[in-house]
Amino acid sequence: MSDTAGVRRRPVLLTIAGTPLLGAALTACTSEPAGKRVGDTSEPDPDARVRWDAVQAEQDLLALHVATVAAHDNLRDLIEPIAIHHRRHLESLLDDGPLPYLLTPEIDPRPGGDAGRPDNDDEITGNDDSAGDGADAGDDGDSEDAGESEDDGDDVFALDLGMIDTPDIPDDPGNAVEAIIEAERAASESHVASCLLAADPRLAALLSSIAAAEATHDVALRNA
Amino acid sequence: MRRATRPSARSRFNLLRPASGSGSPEMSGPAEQTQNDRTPTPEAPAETSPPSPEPADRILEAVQAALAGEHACVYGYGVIGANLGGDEQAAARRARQAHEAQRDALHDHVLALDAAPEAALPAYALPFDVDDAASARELAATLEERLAAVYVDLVAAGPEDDLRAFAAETLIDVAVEHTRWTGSTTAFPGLENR
Repeated sequence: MSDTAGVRRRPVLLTIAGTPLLGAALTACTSEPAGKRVGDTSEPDPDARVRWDAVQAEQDLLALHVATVAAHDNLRDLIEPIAIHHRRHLESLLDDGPLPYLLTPEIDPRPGGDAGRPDNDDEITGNDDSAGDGADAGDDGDSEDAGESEDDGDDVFALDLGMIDTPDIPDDPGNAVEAIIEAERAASESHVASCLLAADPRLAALLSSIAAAEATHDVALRNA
Repeated sequence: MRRATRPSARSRFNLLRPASGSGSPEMSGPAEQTQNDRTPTPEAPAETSPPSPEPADRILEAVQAALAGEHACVYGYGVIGANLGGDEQAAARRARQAHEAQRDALHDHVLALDAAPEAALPAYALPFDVDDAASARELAATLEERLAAVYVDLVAAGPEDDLRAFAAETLIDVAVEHTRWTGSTTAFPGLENR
């Protein structure tokens, strides 16, 4: 599938994403040169694959939202709160534990600058100038996400998508919203399936909550 | 023989507190008598070693918590429906029916675990006065939000596939119902503010 993601990744992003994840990958690399192995003392996290599936689903959703707003700027205010949810989902999944051997996310929205990596922060969050002047206009109206006020200055639609393929967006705004609704529904189902596979109860709970959030996105978009 | 759920956990079970007077444990209904009939846990190991309760006990406790939550929710929707009209009253009735079905499923699951299901209290204390449509909607939102937390706990309670699937699907229903009443969404239903 995407086993080459780590190879294709641009070096600067590998550095940004890497601090916790690369450490785990290097550990796996030195102790298990042949790749996956079960029963070893350094047995990889049994949930790594489950987590990776969920990370990919969230990355794809974020890419869809970013591409949709790029094509239909008038949908920005409608989609922004939902896209911010997905950014938080992705952050939580990446913080939950390691990904499988050598895999790194294409999108890592975690605030690296705040965590002591200021040199690299600009690569992720500092390129607002390329994303349109109205980028921050909708942030103030986002009352549901008061808990992440430190992120409110960031434009979720300016996320670096790495090597993720940009999906085709319907020309008609209504059809574009329908495509998002369908993607949210599919992601919710996918996360329920992942939830049932998770060994760690904490990850299972997180995935069920993410699945529920995506089900509510469906309702919110239909009622908008 | 039936396994007793620790009475000390009971207060956590309720989305709503018992109404003073009508719902106090002393004024017990049939369910309280059932509880008194339960065999007390003689050694009560879970009380003294909280880090490692038996998985089966943890599952039972989470199922009982969800059942008690659904009891409170069904009660609450009675009050909600009485303060709404038209389409909203119909929505409250549908929501109540959904919660009744979930309550029944959880009731059966407790029986399958060979335990005595938590019973509904005669009345519950509401967190605020509910006397018009706005406060009724707010109560619906509050109930669904609190219930979401209970179902996330149920997801995390055990590895039993059917139970986890039920909990995850019901969490979705609860979160969607919350959004229907409030028009708003949250990033982590059931995990917010915890």
